Amino acid sequence: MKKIISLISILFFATNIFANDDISNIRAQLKVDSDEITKIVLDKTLSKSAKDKKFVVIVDRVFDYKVMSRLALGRDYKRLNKKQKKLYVRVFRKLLRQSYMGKFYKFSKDKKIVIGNIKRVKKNKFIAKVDIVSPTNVNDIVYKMYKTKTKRKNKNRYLIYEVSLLGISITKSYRAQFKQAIRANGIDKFLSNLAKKVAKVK
Amino acid sequence: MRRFFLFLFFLFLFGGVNIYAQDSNTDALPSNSKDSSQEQEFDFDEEEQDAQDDEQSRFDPLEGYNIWMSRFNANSDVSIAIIKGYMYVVPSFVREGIDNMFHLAFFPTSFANHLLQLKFKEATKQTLRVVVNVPVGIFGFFDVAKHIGLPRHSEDFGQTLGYWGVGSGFPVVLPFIGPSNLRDSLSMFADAYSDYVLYEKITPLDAMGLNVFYKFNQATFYIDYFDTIKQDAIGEPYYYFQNAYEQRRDYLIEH
Repeated sequence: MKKIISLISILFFATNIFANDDISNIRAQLKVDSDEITKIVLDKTLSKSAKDKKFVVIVDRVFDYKVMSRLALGRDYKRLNKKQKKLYVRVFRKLLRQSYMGKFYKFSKDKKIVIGNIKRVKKNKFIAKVDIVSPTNVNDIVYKMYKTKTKRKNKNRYLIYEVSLLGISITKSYRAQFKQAIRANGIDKFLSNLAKKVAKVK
Repeated sequence: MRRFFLFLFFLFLFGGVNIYAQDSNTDALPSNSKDSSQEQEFDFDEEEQDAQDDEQSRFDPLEGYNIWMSRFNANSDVSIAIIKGYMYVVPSFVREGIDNMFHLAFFPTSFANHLLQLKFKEATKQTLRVVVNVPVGIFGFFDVAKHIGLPRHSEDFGQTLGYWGVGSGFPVVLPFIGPSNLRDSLSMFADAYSDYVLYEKITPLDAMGLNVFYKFNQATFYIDYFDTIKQDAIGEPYYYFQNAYEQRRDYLIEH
């Protein structure tokens, strides 16, 4: 009888471990990524371009640009032809890299990154809360992530498809602007203007 | 009894194996799947439904004015130069202290709005902050409370109206202040009145001057982010700032 009870306890414990496996994996992944980012940003021995090179590797492995770019364009994404889609995703990737890295370059020694609550919202979708704590305030970032079926080359297993900073979603913001830009000038002009903007920022 | 435990045993066994099996099956898929299939593995349905809701056109009778005022605000280099000059002269701990004291002075309005939104727990926390910060923080100049698990939390009348389901109305861009909407612009008057109504010696003109100074001092904490934020704008800055403002307000109403 005792043996059965012990076995049941072990199995109960094991089930919980399996269920929480993703959560602890995401926590570990976020910890590795944020540690690497802060190390790069705070490294005074590196030049800006050297920092950019290292930073881009991390940004590229954490985001799913294809999913994000599609969400950022909303309904208009389906109106793009194959060539336009290719160009759009390429430009969007650069745009997102610039925007995300630009914000983290404001990170300073007196701030710290605290990984908060992580929860599963769907079978393979998760929400992770991360706080950037400074002496004056706390800025919260919410990442929406999903688990890929397989590990992709140079990519994390859990990819970010949405980021909200202080409640402001990056894809929603882009969507509002892209919609207006397409309404005003059409898709081709929108794509060329976007490419020009990305090329302009160093 | 024994049968019951055996039943439980199999239940847990299959439960555990099942979760594990799901994972291992997905792991077993070929690793060199093509881009299109990578895209397919993401379930777009839910997110695209949200996207469609966002894409509904918004009633914007002041669009022309709003675009003009947003361009003016985004390019008001003079204001930025004045803010940077002020930052150079006044050290950050003094600016923080000023901000803390204003926050303390506005506590009654914020407290009332907490109650109006039935946020009793947060209202209690904010009251405790006052109890700590007045004596220990020297009339609120130092925010001691935040170091003991009592962070600052503000509520205004616009948030109260939003909490009770009042829509934001059409967008209004205010000079120097930036994006707002009909609900929040009108609520600012109610907040300004209640912020100073307890302080008898302050005239409405003084109150206006103090509010400008409060906002000006507060802007120094965000000035570094301003250029980065400006860089994120694609096309007309109005659409970006207004959308970000509305999202932020929705978030504050929810929290």
